Amino acid sequence: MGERKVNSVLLAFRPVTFLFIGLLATSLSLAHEQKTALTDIFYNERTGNLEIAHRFSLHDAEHTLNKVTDVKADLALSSEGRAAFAKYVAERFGIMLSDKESLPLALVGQELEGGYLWVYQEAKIPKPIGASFSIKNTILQEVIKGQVNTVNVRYRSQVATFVFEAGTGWKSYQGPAKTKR
Amino acid sequence: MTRIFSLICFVLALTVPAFPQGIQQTKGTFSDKFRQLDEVLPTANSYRNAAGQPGHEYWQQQADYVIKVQLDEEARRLSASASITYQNNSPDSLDFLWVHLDQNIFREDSIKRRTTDFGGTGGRGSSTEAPKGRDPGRMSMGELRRQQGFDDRDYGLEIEEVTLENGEPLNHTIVGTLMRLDTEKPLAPGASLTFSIKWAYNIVEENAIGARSGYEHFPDDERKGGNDIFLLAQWFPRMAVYSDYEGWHNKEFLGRGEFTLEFGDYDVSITVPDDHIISSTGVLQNPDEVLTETQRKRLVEAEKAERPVFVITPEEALKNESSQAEGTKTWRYTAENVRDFAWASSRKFMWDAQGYQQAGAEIENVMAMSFWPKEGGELWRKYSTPAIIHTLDVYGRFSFDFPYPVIQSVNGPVGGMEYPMITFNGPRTKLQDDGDRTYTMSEKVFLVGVVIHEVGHNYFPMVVNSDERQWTWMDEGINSFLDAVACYEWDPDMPWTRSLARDLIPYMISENQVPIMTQSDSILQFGNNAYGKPSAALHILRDTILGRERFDHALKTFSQRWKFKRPTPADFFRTMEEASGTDLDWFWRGWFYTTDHVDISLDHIYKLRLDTEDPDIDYTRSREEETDKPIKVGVRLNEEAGVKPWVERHPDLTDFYDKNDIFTVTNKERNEYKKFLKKLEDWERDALNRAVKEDKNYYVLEFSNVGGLVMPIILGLQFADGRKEILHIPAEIWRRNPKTVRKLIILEKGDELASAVVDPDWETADSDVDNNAYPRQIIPSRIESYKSKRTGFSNRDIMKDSKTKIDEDKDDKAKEDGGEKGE
Repeated sequence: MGERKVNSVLLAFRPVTFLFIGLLATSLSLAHEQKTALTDIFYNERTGNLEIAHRFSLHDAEHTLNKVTDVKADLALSSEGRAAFAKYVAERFGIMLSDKESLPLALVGQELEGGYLWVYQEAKIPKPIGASFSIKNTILQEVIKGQVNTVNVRYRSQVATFVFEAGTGWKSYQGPAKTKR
Repeated sequence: MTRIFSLICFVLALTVPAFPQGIQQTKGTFSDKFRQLDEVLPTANSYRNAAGQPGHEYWQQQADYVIKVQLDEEARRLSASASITYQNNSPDSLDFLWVHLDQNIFREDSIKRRTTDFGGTGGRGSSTEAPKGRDPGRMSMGELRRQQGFDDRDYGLEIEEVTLENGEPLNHTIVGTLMRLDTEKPLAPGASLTFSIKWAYNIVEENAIGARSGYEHFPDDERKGGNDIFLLAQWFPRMAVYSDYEGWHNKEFLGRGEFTLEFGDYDVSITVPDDHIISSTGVLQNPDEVLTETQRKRLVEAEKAERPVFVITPEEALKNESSQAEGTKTWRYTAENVRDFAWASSRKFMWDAQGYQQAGAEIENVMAMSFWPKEGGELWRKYSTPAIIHTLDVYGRFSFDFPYPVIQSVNGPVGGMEYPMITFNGPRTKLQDDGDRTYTMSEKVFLVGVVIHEVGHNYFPMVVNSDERQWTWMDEGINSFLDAVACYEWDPDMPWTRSLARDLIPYMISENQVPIMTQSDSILQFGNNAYGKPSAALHILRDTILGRERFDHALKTFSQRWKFKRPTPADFFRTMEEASGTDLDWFWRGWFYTTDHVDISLDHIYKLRLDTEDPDIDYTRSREEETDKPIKVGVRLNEEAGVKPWVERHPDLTDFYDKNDIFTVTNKERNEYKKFLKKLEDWERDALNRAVKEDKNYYVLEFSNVGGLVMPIILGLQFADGRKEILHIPAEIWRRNPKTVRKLIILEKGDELASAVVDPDWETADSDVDNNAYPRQIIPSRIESYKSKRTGFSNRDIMKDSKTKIDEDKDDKAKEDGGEKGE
């Protein structure tokens, strides 16, 4: 697979002059997308990893595959298509540490489970354990109208939820609160 | 500085929970999860009673329509006139009447359009981003198209005149998506009013504007100017509901909370280009005038067919696509006792039909029909009409026989939407470069799933007439539950999503959610809130809490009580309790009125043995316990180093205590034991003797409720002999302490508990399985288990790999030529 261009369907505009960035065809017209994706960020203290699992409805992923990658394939049957989709997901999701350094996330893989496509990333848990970080998630927002991405950050039984819609930008997670085990 | 301050205030305001008024626990921290819903549910009355039934004075209004409508294909415009008869069955005199004009949502001055938050929460809206600092604002191409669509034409119902039967004008005032009609004198109980409305409107392009109806243009069809599919819904002035519990249901249409309407009879004459085919609510009254003899013959043949019969074949439809209309044709439909009326029109449609027989039903023969363009292709030919029939079969068992003579599925630009006797469904095939039309597995799942879901809506809410603008879950939740039942009955191996307890866990732990009992326009995470969670709740109620017999009986009772009537959530809650004979207030409270989630932890298991009180037994046991403890490390190391204790080096200096340990029994204890036995009543002594003889094993299991939602504890027990058992502990175990409870399990002597696990079959939406097993087990996280099976089977691309040619080996050549082809 060759290099892939990232096309953004969002047109940019500034006060006074409009500035268009990378046009792409129209937004999807096919209705009945779920328009929601779920990301679970989990502090796995056993492995020391921050585990990131993105869940998409297979149908949404399938209908956007050839808009966000160069691959034309049946996602359910093509591991190449799924790999390309996973790579796209990794490009539109980021974690930034408090010193403005971005946390490098390894792309672990992807798999199908029932009607869902899962994409997995991971990194070492930022130190110290209570460290805050920022999250950005713009997955599918340039191709699905009204796409809402929900991110749950889980540390033991603590859950913090962040909602990303088009234009949300970075959101700040304060880090796990101290708990007694 | 001030900006930061105001932001903090805002956050604080958001985090202060809203406490319900009325009864409160003002001492201690006890929370009564089983408190009855007394003050939460509305007081029962003679219109809807405390058993959840329509009361002895139940009433509802009726609205009958005679409509003539004309479609102008070129201008994409409807012009129509209606005579509406409104029957006041209420005990109230009505000063005015309200009418819905839902098309007005597309007007430039509608609340919906004026209140779109740029770059804000859209839900179904287009993508926009507000500018932030040095970041530019952004707008999607779809949003541009939508705005241009709005610029190009004016939308909204153009009301030309409203008149009484005598031709006198009837005063009317348009208020957003509603219109108030002022009658000269109040409409008395039992009286009726007939009036006429003339209107017209420009039809929206569905793909540009986003709606539940509209046209779709096909510019690439061979016909000059291309073709359109028109899906017409919310197209006429519809009488608003006047009910016993809310008065006029005149809440503005903001686009999300759909609607409820009054039942009535319809007589609708639809005039379209003479080469169009119509699919519509109702029964066609003039087939001789609009259908060919062949088409009519095929329809008769379809009535008793085993498989769908084409009324218009793909070849005929393809030919029709290129035709030019020579004039118009009028199709006349009538429908009895329906709460809405929708239709579709195009020259692109192929059409199939198959009769569905319901022996003994009021309507024994129901005609299931599908209409689709070539873009629907094989996917539609194979599965649309069969999915309709499967829905009638399953839903009929759970509720009532289908009460209408026709039920249809039409493909057009709308993803999925329901109307009486007709549904709009979006899935299609994809045109490949080689001219083939193919579809993926998930498109097939989508088609079968959406047809079942939208046809299912013909039961809920088209017949069991709940109000989706108020309580979306009542039809969407019950229907999502039943569509999942129907889907798993269709093929349990297909990847259905969204409706089972295990699918809902990430939503149920998330913070940005509202209770299910929230008005439609205010719901956050709409799909999960109104479709997924109530569906999961009903699956749990059926399969885990009530059992199928009691649940099915209760749901059927609810369906039949409220068939062609107007239930509220209280009527549902009450009926389910009455018919199942189960107090479910805790369940409704937890699942429908709070945002708690399920997380039950099995914290400890204690193994206990009964003291006999006989010192000769108990002291010996205590001694055994002591000697079973591991030897002290320092003592062991001394032994290993050959350090001899002082007592061993001075054997001549031992005394009484070196021969008798602390567990030595004396006659003092024996006398006390005798005294103890003497003081016991006869029955107490018998019980003790028996227990000592049986010497059973006692286990105390300690649970804590981390998630907050009280639920039954489903306990998987594994015994030392390898035996497994499931123990159901009803939710009521939490009634006096919703945070921690203990359960005693008694086993025969020698029968040992090896391990226990909460919710072994993942049926209760328990969010954290790490705390479910005791002794604790290492449960690999999702990513860990993915890594461990990565070399396994899940990522094989069998379809591609099966095209691999076998490596040629000279010896094998002859065998391969022998005939077997390996594709």
